[in-house]
Amino acid sequence: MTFFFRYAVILISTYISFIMPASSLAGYDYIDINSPFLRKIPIAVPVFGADGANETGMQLSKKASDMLSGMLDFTGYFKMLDRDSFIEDPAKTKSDASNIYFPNWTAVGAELLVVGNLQIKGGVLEIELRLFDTIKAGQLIGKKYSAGVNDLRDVIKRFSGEIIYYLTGNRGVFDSQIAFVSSGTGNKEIYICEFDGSNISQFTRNKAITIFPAWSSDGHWIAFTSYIRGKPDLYIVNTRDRSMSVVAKKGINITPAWVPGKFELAATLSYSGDQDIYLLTGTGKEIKKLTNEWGSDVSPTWSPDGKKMAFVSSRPGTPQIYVQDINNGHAERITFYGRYNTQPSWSPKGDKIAYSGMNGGRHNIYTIGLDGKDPVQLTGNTGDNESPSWSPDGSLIVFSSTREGPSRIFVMTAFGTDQRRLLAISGEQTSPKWSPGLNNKQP
Amino acid sequence: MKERFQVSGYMVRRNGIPPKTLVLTFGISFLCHAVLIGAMFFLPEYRKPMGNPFPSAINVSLVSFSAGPPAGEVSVAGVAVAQAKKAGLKKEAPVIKVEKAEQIKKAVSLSPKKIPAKKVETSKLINKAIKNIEKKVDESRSATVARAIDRLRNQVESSDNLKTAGVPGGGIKTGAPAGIPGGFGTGTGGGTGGAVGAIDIYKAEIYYRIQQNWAYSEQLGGSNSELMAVLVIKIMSGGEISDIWFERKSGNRFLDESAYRAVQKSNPLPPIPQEYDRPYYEVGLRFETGGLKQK
Repeated sequence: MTFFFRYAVILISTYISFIMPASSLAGYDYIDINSPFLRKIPIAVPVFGADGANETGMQLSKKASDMLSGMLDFTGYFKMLDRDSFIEDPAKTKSDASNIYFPNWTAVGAELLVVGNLQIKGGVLEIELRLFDTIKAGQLIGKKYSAGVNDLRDVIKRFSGEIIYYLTGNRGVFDSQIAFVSSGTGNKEIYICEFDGSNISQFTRNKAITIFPAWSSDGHWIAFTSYIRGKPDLYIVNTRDRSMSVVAKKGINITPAWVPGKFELAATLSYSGDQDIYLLTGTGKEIKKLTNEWGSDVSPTWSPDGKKMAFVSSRPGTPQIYVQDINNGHAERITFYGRYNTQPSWSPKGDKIAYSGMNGGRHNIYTIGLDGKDPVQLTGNTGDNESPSWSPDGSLIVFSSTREGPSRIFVMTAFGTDQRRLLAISGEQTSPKWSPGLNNKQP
Repeated sequence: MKERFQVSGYMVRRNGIPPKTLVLTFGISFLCHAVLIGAMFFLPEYRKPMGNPFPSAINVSLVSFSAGPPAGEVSVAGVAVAQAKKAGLKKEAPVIKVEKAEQIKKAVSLSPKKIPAKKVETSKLINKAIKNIEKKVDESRSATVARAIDRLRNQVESSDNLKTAGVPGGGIKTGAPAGIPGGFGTGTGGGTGGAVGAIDIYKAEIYYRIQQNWAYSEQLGGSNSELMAVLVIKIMSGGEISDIWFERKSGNRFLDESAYRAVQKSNPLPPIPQEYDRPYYEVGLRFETGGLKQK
């Protein structure tokens, strides 16, 4: 029997010798890290250099770097690091990878670094801008721009777009505008501002209630409803040459929404006696009736592919949001909670619809999946929040809010974070509509 | 040795070993296989390294407020936090309220029937409470963790002396109030020797250092689902990270890169504790993100 025991020992030790080394190789413990300390990417934007520049040049480079900081901050992706904490003297920062000592930037927590250099030669602005990865100590983007001194903002917008493009694959919101309604003049008129609330200009001077602005997908047309002739008619205006078409049928002509990629729009008309949504040409000619059920059908919004339309219908007895297939005309209700769900806005990514819902006497912004699942409340406890509209890249939502008293235009990320006021001018501001990207085709 | 060679040649040569031997040989072989294969199924921890035979686990699970939580979240989260505060947070023994944190998560994704109602009147109070708590946490975060590590160290030292069965159950719990970063829970099950305790403290330190350096924007990552990237790091005795590699990539470039950056920013780590008798320490880091909690 000793033979068998010895044999067994040999067999077992052979098995062990096979298995143990393998387990030692992969043998380590794990640490679970499931909560990032920072939910934004820390980025340093020191004041740009201004080689051989006079006082004006220095001020311009400060202005340029501040402008870039502001635009990047606006996106909600970044944590802008405080310049006071920087180890390197920003004025001496050379915009050349060989001169940057990256540990100085990682030490202050930066993962990305933008350096720039600005020169004015004979009234022409020359700016070199570079984005660096401080951890990998490498340049990610390097661009050189020549422009007039007054075009500084355009240059900065362009470079901001480059940064966002590098990180996300789309060019962000920098080339977009926002149309909204303001009552500052005593009448509700349509105004337009840039994506960040700057450069506000009055678009209509109708001296009559003018509401429901809607951008065409190329940004060249704005349709709106105005009471110029004493009743709500639909106006379709070219943003450049101001050429115009009018839809002034009997009854109301309201809530226009352009079909993506086409010179066509949907709007609610009531000449038949019932408020239904019609498809119209860009010149206001009727193509076909899209909704047929009895009850009010208003506020259409198109899916990005233009094959479906969401709208508000009163057919269940209360205003609720429906999604309709344009080809077969089949409509399905997607909102079931609350008695008042209106103002749908289809996300540019196509997966969600933002809307305004009333609950407990307050309007708030929600998003919901196309199947009606997972409604998420984005605003709350802050007055009435209405009229959501997605940014062209789908990362932000603009809306109106009464949280400060009078209605103002606010913006937040698509997940409800970073809510802030976009602008404050006299009167009340409502019904913001974010334009498409207006220079998307430019590199 | 001679006998062994005969045995191994048995099946080929059939040189006179009785059939009984054959049966026993296969019997033993079968038993060995059964035991070892069974062990694979029932003892997932069998792959522990030889130098660390005691089961040790550190399970750090936190939920932190994002920079600006949606107000919809705040209404519910605020109540949870306010309740936590009301319940009395003692400075000496802060407790992780994981259940509350889960409430916060749930609040983000609302089923059609569960949209929170009528929180309007309490909004000011809640906001105030949150601000107070956030302020306190900002001030005391580092102190809390430092205290926690000290306390762990003391615990281990005393347990060394006592040589008891280790810290029972959930182990030492320490951390900050509900859903606030900076706290961690760690426990050692079974018996703890000096080296195991020291390495647990060390793991807590690694966790804290790397978590502090981890910047990941879920908005930028844009993923709706839960993701996990697993990095393995090799730490030299001085604390220097000499090697980093992915055991598993998440499939999301932003998460993978953010994890890698967090590790690189954390280099060097604190030196390996002297009680640990190896020249280097390898540890896996599981970076997990819960996604955006909405589809």
